[in-house]
Amino acid sequence: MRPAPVDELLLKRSRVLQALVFAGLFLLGGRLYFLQVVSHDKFVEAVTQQHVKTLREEAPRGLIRDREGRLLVGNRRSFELVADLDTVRDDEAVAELVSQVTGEPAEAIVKKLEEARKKSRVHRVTLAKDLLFSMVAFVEARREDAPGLLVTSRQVRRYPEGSLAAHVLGFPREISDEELADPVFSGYHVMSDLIGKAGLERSYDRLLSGEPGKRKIVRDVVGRQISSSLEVPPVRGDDLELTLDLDMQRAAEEALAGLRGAVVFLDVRDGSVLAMASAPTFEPSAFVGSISGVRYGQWRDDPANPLLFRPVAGVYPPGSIWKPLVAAAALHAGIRKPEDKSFCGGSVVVHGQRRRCWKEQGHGFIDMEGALIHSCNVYFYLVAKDLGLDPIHDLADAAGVGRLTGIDLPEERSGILPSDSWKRRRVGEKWYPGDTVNLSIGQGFLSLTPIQTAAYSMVLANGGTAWRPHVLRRAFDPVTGEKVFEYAPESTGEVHFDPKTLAFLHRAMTETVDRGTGRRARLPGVPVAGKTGTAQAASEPPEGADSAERALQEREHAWFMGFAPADDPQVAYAVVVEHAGDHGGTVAAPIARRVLEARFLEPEIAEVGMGQ
Amino acid sequence: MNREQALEVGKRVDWLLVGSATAIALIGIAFIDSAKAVGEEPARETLRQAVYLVLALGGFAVMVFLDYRKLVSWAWALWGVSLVPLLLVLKFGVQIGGAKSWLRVGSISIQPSEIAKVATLLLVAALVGKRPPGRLRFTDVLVYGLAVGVPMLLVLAQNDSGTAASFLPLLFAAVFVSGLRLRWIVAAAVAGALLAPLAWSQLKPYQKQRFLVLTDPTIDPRGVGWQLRQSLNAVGGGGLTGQGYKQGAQNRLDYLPERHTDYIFAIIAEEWGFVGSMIVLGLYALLLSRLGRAAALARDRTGAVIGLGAFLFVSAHLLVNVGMVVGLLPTIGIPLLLLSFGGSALLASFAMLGLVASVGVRRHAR
Repeated sequence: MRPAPVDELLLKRSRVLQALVFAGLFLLGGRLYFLQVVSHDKFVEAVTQQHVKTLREEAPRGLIRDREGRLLVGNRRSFELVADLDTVRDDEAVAELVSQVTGEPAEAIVKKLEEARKKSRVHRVTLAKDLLFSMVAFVEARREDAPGLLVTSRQVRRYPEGSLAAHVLGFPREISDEELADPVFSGYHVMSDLIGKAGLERSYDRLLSGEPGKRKIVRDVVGRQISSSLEVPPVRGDDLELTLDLDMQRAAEEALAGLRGAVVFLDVRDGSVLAMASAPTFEPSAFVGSISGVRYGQWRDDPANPLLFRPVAGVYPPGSIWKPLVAAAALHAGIRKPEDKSFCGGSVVVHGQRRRCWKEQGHGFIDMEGALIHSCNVYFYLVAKDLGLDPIHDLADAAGVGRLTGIDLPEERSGILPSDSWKRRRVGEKWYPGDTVNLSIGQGFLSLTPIQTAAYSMVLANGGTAWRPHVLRRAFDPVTGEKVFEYAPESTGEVHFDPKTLAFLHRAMTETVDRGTGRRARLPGVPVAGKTGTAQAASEPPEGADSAERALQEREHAWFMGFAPADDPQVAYAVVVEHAGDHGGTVAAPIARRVLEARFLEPEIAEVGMGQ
Repeated sequence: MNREQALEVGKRVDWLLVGSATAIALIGIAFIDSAKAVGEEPARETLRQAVYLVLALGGFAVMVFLDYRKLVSWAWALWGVSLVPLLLVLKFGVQIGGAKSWLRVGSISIQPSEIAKVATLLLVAALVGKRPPGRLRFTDVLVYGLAVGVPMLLVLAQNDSGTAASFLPLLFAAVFVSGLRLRWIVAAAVAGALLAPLAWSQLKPYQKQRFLVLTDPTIDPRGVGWQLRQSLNAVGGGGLTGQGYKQGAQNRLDYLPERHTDYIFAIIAEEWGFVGSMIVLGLYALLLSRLGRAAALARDRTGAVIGLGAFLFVSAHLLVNVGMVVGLLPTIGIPLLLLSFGGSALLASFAMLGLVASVGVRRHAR
């Protein structure tokens, strides 16, 4: 059969179809015009937003050095795994890869991502910190499996001296939600910034933080960085120069090693902190990486409480180191002269209660100097009976006891200087004369921090000026090297000592070290003034403490405070060893001597000194 | 065939038709390279497509010299033969993407559905051509349905619904030009509208989303919605004159999925801008007008149906693919004929165009 010729119907309908198709083409052309010409700007914005990111380039924090310019805190580069929530397309894939690196269960990581997505302002989540190079390579090789997972780097802290001065320096960590909500920090910090969490890192966070820069990054769909350019370079935070003396600090920490306690050395001429040790201590470098959670938990649960900043946050009854202040109050009030003697028979009945001296057989007839040198309790019980609370309280208050010293470090506690009103408020009872008797030997309700004790010692040493203790000396612009901050010594109060009183106390405290309870602090060629203390521990053992810990908690605190050189005071100090179970002269005085050696003796002489 | 005949064919062949198709294919090769090349070297896909274009032009020439009427007389046999690889692919096929549409022969993979399209076109043309003009009978519709339906169902069985759907315009063309009464067309449209909710309920959830996302781009922002957004970003980001060849951000940064096949038009739009889109659409319009002309001038119904079928094949792929790229139609995975990467499709397309050219050459044959 021959093919049929083309008929009219076919041609007509064929034309209809063709017309419809061309109409469709016009529609497409119109749509293209709308998208490409009319809405072009909108799409350019969407495209740019999608793969060009302007990131805040975190500024390295300022360096921290001791008074001689020796580096205590530096910086180093550290790699992190970060999920960019805008480009992550498969949470499971990201979690799987991160889990292979960190060992953290994948479900936990997925949960983190989901949590972060709920917060509208969060675009990036750090999933692993401080990676080894091998881990970085592992992730880089598998990045296509997990689009949106980025390897980023940031400057983190480096501690060339290890744990030295850990509590003073503190450490930075990522800012918390609470801190972000705080206008004090949100003014200059954003999400995931490092912020000082403790120590100087916290109190001088604003100086240390620096100015963040801006980085423009172009990334492909799986988050691979195509190009990166620094639009505005970040400026490192200001470098801090501390008042600390590395040698004294090291000596203090070595002397405290294995104990629980605190050492504070102040410059009596301006309140500079020369050494400030807290034992046991921790490793600030542990707060850099991901594993810090485990270490932090161990430190937090340790009954020895290594995270406690004892020099400013440890409060202890002072015991006999309190006696010079009571002696001064007695002299000022005129109820005693130095040469007035009392009889110590090992105990005495005061206000109807038998009170004991630490020396059972008694000191016999003893004057004020003897009572200080040999730390006789009976002498001071009798002083308390004649003096009453007020003169002691007023002098202690003037010396700063019971108040914050205002040191430039966080966490400081005020301790307790008891009074009638204080006792009514806190205990619900009036002040009994017996309380004054307790107070006279530094027991009872009274408690001091080591920094307060050192400040009290400073006041005795320099004749009455309470300089505000401080750790920062100067701050420098890291670019120009210009000094941007210098600490101006600030007096927080003046104690008006009678010069005779002062001379007497200096002599008595020097004698204490020369031939009394403080003999173990003697230094060849440098007269040292000091006072020992052995304080009954009033603290309750923490809950869950084992029997060894309970037994330890019942033991007495050993104190030693004073200043040197005795004839021309430069440094004042306070040493406390918690639950030492021995006298201050035995445990605390040698610690003070170790630090004094570092300050006053040449290294070779220091060794001879140690041999004595 | 002697020398004079060859010269005669050469003189009468529609150079605009083959010229526009070749231009489109060359642009396609250039943008396959833009999508795939990493360094200075051309991509493997670019070279492959170039080789296939040479082969396809050869195939075109062969088809022009063959008398389409002779081919039409073998239509059933050719159709039957073309079904064999479709059956083979079900058993031995290689899965690429979601569909199992490829047969591997040595180092080359062929897509039997592309061959089947040409054979089916030939058969439909033969069937319509043999029918005398006049009222369409029910048996005619059944036969057309068989001719189109069998390969279509086989392709559907490969899980390649996009390609299967591309057979439909052929069936429609056959019944439409054979004189299907308008009232039936209206009835079918009404029935379709009534059955639409039923059909909707039969769709798989991911298929439904492909429709819904057109009205609400926030649906499935990391799946279908993401693809659509990236495609629109590419097109819209192109602007009037484009970001420059091989400079498109969406292209270079891997944001566009399937961009050397289904989304190649989006790259052209991004890198050559509105001007480039119009050049490509213009070339297609030229090609389509030549196909339509061939149909109109054909000496018999068979030739006319060949021309019209080719016209509808090309236009259906064009409208559906570009419609998807610009967000007017749901995401259906079909390539853009002549432009997209794919050797079998390029060969089949040029063979089909050769068939149309053959009709054109013989329009005044005595």
